[in-house]
Amino acid sequence: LPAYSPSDLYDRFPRLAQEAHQITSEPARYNCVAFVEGRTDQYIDPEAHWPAGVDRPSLDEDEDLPYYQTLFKHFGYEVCSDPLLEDDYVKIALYANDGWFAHVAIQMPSGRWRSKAGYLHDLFHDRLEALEGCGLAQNARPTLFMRRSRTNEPKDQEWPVILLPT
Amino acid sequence: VSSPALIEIETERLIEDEPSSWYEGSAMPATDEALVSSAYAVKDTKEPRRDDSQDRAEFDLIADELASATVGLGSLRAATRHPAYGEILAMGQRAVPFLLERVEDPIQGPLWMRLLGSLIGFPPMLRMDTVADAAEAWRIWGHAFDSFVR
Repeated sequence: LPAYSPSDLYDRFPRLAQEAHQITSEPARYNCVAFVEGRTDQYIDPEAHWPAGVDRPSLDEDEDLPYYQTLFKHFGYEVCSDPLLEDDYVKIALYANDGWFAHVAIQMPSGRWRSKAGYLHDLFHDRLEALEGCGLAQNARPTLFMRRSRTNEPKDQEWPVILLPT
Repeated sequence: VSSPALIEIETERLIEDEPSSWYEGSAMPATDEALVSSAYAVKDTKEPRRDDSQDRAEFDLIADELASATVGLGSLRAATRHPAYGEILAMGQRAVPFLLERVEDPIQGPLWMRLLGSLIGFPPMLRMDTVADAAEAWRIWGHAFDSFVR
């Protein structure tokens, strides 16, 4: 099986090398959506595991971003207008290209962001722009912002933090 | 051996016809016993076994290309649009034993489960909540398929 190193991360996310960031895990088989929900044992995707009761896009849809909006509403988020830090809220930024979901990042209390980059590493990144043009979706940009009250945060939410040299 | 043009046409057809019935779960066995029985049923429809070294070489080449091209993606939907994804679907039953070997891939397991789900007609995660449980379910299914251990 192929093995991946941080150089593969920089290859797939070419803007990252020029942006402030810190890699925090090895590659693993959970995705960005599961990571945002604090789950490192799931792969939350319409084509894999999708919560019961949440509409799932079929293969012939023209776009799937509205379904991800519904998914995160199911997780307790509401749409907001911008990614600016608000003390009482956790924010997420959904990256999309022409209505197709590509990535989601979550804001930390410091204001910087955390992401799981595809199947690759988890990382902190100061700016959302660091992951623009992610993966194959070369034109993906932060498109939709949502927020959830910090009082609604699951008590058991935690992320792995394995700081690697950068 | 199919000509490149024929492979291309067949790939397009398979992508177009890719079953989405697993969304509704109509094809998913309800019990473990039914799951194992279904594996035997699929096995019974297999073509006669042959030297698969050429199939393996073909599969590994395509699968490694797909893995590398999609490792940065956060969505399986995007991965299904890569040409190599359709090429594995076009391999049909010949790809199943090799996909079963990859379901416990610690990095891209969900990708191989998605392909298996399409080829077999089951939900990719076999209705399991976690990736680890889904990999274990596919491993059990693979044993019944009698192609997992080679």
